[in-house]
Amino acid sequence: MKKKSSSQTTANGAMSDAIQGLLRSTTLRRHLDAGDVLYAHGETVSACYVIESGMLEAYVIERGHRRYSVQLSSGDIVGAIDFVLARPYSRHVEALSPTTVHVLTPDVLTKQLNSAGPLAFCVMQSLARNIDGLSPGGRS
Amino acid sequence: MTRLVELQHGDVLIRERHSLAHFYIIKSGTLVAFRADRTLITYRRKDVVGLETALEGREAPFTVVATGKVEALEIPVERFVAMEKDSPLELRALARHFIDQSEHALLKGR
Repeated sequence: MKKKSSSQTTANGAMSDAIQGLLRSTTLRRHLDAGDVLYAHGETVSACYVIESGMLEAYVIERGHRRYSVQLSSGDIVGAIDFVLARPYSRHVEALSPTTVHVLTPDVLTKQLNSAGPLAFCVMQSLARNIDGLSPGGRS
Repeated sequence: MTRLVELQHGDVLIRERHSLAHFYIIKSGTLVAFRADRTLITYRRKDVVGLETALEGREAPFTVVATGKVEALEIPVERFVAMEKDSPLELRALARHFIDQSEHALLKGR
């Protein structure tokens, strides 16, 4: 299983201020025990999640086997690419240890994206396509 | 100031190891990013090019060339910085996450 190296940190290794701020905020939280499934491949996107503590595993199932497995930890965000690309979840995500995640609901994010204007939305969609297209197991 | 850039086949939009003060949104046409003769990604209409590099103030890690006639909007990176600054926390976190992940993916390639 691959450990994710850079998603939650900036290029100089520090967690971004925005993500730190989010982890300090009072958004809705969800707790998972080891083995609990956060979401499954093919489910309609119900939220994006920012990991506060613990560890998650994201993977794709191909011919009955787990592939492109990645470990995710504090500061990582999951489900955001599927949300921005307006499609069902493209991976299975489950907890490897007791984990707490912040829940970002699509209605809040959609409202924020709409109020930020077309440039913001275009940028987010394009970045999401880049990430998805270049990631092992991505679909774009 | 935002302006429209027109390119012909073979024109270079971004040159490897050059720094960027702008990023681009493709209005029409396609471009390819390559490094050491290896194509990394194809950019199409509505794609954003060079944002990660411009924001980080780094040298471009690859060259981006038009494959045919291309129209692209050239946007000063300050415009994105201002927009990001004014955005709510959730959106900023998402944008930063995408920028970092995209940069990582582009530098690494598939």
